[in-house]
Amino acid sequence: MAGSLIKIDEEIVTSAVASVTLGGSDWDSSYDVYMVKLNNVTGSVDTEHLFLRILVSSSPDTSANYDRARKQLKSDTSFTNSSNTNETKTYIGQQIGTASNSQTNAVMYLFNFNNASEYNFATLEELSWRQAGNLHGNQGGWVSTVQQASNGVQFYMEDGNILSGTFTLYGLKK
Amino acid sequence: MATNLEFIKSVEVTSSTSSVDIDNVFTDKYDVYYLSLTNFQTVGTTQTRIRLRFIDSTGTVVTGSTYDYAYLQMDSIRAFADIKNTNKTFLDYNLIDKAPTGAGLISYIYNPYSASSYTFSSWQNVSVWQAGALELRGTKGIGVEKTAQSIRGFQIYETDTRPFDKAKISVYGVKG
Repeated sequence: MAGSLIKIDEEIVTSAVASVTLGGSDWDSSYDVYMVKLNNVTGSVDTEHLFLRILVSSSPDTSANYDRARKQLKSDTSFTNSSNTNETKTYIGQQIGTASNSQTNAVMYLFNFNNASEYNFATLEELSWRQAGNLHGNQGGWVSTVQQASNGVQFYMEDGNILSGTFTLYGLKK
Repeated sequence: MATNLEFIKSVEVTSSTSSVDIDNVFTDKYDVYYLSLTNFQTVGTTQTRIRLRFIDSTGTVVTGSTYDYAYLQMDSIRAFADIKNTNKTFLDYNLIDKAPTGAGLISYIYNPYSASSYTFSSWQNVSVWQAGALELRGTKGIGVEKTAQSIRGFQIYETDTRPFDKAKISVYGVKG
């Protein structure tokens, strides 16, 4: 990967916003694989998840076509499988909140976003310091089961606003 | 076109040692770092655990019971296992041993330099060793050092007085 990561879009949140969009009018369709980095993402309401939707023609796709499969790693208790189908969004972060150091960090690799004849899917490598004061994370992936091209992703909290965080979209140079 | 993955430092191990410090690599220039550990091999043929500890802003290795971690352990000849721990003195990665088996690892480090945040890590590792049957073991994990303090580097070390004599550890900044 060294020497091949090209920044396309970045949003730095320093005050409350309802959602964050990467891509849209800033999307660059010249890549096959994209990387999304989330750093120090915090929310305004306690014990809420960070969600994601893909952008289709720059608008969030709210259709019930998101599937997920992950292993949830937990430093304080037994691991669990996290899977579901036909959701209207996909889970990214754990139950974060306003507690000190509570935050979500993650890296995702996006595939097939420019291909109108295939599904859009992604890997997910995420960790959160939760409102409850423990470390949980996801290792796995998600898919939007619609054959369509998309041009970005939108992040929003389950409830309340995103208070802070750096959201960055990169292309992997061919 | 400028890349946003910027090389910072590589350290190569070429003689027997039980620990290696990769110091003065985390700065205010980046919030997220990418690490790679390649060609990791012990002197002897018996496995040892490899672990990470951070180095604080004074150059002192952080050895307090302030590390939590969790990883999924996937093994070619044994049952998978969920490994979790809180309040440990290290982040635990895997077992390694002598060539031609060895090990590799990549990791992201979040917020090390920030004095107001914990330091977080996620990683993927694969190791192979021969203790009877050839055994492949991968780990996918997460970890945290639970002190809001500035971290400037890290130490990789082994735990069983079975030193390693080969490794290349590289650090990159993931530029926003």
